[in-house]
Amino acid sequence: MKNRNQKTYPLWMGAPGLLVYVVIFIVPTFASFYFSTTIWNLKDAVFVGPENFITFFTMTNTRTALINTAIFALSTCAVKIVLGLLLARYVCSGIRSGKYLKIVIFFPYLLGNVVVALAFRALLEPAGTVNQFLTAIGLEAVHWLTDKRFALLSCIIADIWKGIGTVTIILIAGICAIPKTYFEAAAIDGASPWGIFRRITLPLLLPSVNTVLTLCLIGGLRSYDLIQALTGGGPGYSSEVLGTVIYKLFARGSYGLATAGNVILFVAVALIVFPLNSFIARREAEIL
Amino acid sequence: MKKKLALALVLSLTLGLVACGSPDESSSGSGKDQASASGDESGSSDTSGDRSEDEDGSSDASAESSGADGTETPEGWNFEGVPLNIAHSTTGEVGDALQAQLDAFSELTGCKIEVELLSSNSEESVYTLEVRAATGNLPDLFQSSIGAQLDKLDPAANIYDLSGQDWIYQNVTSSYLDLVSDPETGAVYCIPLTTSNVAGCFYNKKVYEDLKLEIPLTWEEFLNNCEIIKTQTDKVPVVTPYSDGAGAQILFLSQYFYVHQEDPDFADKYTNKETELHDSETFMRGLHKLNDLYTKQYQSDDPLAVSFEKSATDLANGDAVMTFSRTNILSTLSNVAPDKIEEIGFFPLPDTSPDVRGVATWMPVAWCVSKNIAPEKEACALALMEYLTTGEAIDAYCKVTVPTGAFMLNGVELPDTISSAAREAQEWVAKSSTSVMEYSCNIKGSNMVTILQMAETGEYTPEEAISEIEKDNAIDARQKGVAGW
Repeated sequence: MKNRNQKTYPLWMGAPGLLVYVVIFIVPTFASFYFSTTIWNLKDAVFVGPENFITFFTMTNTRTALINTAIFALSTCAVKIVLGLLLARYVCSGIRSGKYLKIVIFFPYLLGNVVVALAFRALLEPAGTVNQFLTAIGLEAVHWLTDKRFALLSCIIADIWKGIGTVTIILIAGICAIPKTYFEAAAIDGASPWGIFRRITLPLLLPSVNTVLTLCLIGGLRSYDLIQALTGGGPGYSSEVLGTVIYKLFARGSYGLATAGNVILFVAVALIVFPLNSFIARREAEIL
Repeated sequence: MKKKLALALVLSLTLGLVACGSPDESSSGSGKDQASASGDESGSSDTSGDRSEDEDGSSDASAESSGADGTETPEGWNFEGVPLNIAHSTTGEVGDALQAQLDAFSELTGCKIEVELLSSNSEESVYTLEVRAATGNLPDLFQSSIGAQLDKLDPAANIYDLSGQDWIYQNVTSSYLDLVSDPETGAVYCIPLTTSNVAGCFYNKKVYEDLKLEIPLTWEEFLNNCEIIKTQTDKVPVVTPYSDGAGAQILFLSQYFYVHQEDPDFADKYTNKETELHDSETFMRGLHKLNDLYTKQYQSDDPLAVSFEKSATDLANGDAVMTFSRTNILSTLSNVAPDKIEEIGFFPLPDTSPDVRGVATWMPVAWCVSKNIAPEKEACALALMEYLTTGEAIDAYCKVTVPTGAFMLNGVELPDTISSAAREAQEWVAKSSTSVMEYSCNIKGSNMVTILQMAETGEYTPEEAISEIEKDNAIDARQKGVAGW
């Protein structure tokens, strides 16, 4: 066993970092747990126990928001990963426009969510480009942002367009990290492209998939700004997600209740993401 | 094949980027576009008793005001180099008018004014100020909501008491001071920042003449007019800009005039939980009126896609005949159809009796001084507050934009250049008016706009809507710690 005195660095050297971490992350986290159990006006906080949580779950729009959050997170996550994988595979296939495509695919990520929302509003409004196209090919115009059936779908499409760049770039990096020799050996053995993809690319890409899955899922669950700017959670509550519910509560000065909403979101993210992450990590270990 | 696929992909992605960067001229069709893109200049997403400033778009006319009584700027104001940090959320031409006032004061006294623009979404700006008040970081001068909304900032702790200033009683109207004073201590916290707003029905006079329609004195007569317009023309009887938060609330909130006529203590009783909203038939009629417009198909086809600006344009063009709005629509009209502004008339929201008619008003938002202002800046800030209530400051304002409501300053007359609709609205203010309920009752749930939009599109009946509003308000009241809730 290594003697404590033989360690390269003394423990106290970690103190500054730990202090920053505690002040910036740990203290606010526990403070928010406390304030979620209070009626709080930023100045005074009156302890009310679990009342805020009960109120939050009994609000008319919460149920819809929970369902919409799940739909939004899962669908954006799934589509981004599948499309990202296809794009990554295609871009890495040695095509000449590969470098340009990488830039173009990544570009939307550089835009702010509100900018993307404004661009999509222009595209999706009743007389917008999308409807002009639809009517030009003989289809009926759709009220993308004001029809309950399409509002959430519009938000999902905008989020996928915005986020697919990051997913693709991470997966491209993952594909590039796979040794070429595997592909060459498989080709010599006469493996089909699909077989190579399923038996070599995909398994060896699992660490990258795990990363993007975690990022997409967390991002999707706590998504707010793009939806707020695009539909404001409407029409009615049709595109309401937890983030927009919490925003409205903050905006009306219900700080305690809004913080309770944030705590619920935090717990939901933790409950979904951590087990999923450890499951994929186990699968990786099995494969490798 | 690979090449073609690559080319198609490059094209589609490039097109996406181009779409992202191209300013779509038709984006004005959606109110939220406007609200988000233009800083809420013409639409306003809120009517929380504090939005009279940011919708005022523009006017190409300048005007002379008659000046307030006792408004001579004192000699010897010299604040050379004194820095003042000022925060407001007013944009558009009214924002320019405020800047003209600040510039004029700066020139007069030599002080150095730094302006910080807050979010033009009133809820966001109030939230920002609340946080800054809680952390002792308020700007020297700032724009604030008034009435019950002012309480959010805990004025006794955070806002400078102006009651010791003689000029405030001379220059500011008593009706405004009532809303910005503490009745127990006599403290006065604010001065008006811009003009008041009056809500009612704006109509196209030309279409009314063509169809030989009379100004409706009751809601029944109003519906009759709508029916005639619907059956005899292809025009929209009532253009309904429900994409806009304010547009979705105006008719409903305006109904408070009649509620107040019936029971002047209604807001207090509701605040004290002595009555419920659904107990008042008059209050309920506001929702029934919205429901009438929907069920009888007198409103726009896709009301949630109609913006404030589009409603003004359609009204001016005669594509729509009426709209419920506040007088700030006249500023938008002067932008989108300046030559047709005189074709627009005004009448109050009708109710059951032809003898009882009147309008709901929104008082101007306010300027406040931070209570924690540095001693060396205090005199300069007070001088600026006084200056802003003088005729000289009003002249500077009117040189940039034509006012659409009253300044709430003693002795200030509206210039002759204001439109006839604005003048009619002001006549109603003098004759029969009340401030909207939000000035006397701070309870308003976070989903009010959404619930109203759902009532306006037939998703909720009036009864379901009021039940939802009451539930939503109860949560808000509980969170605000209102006694009895």
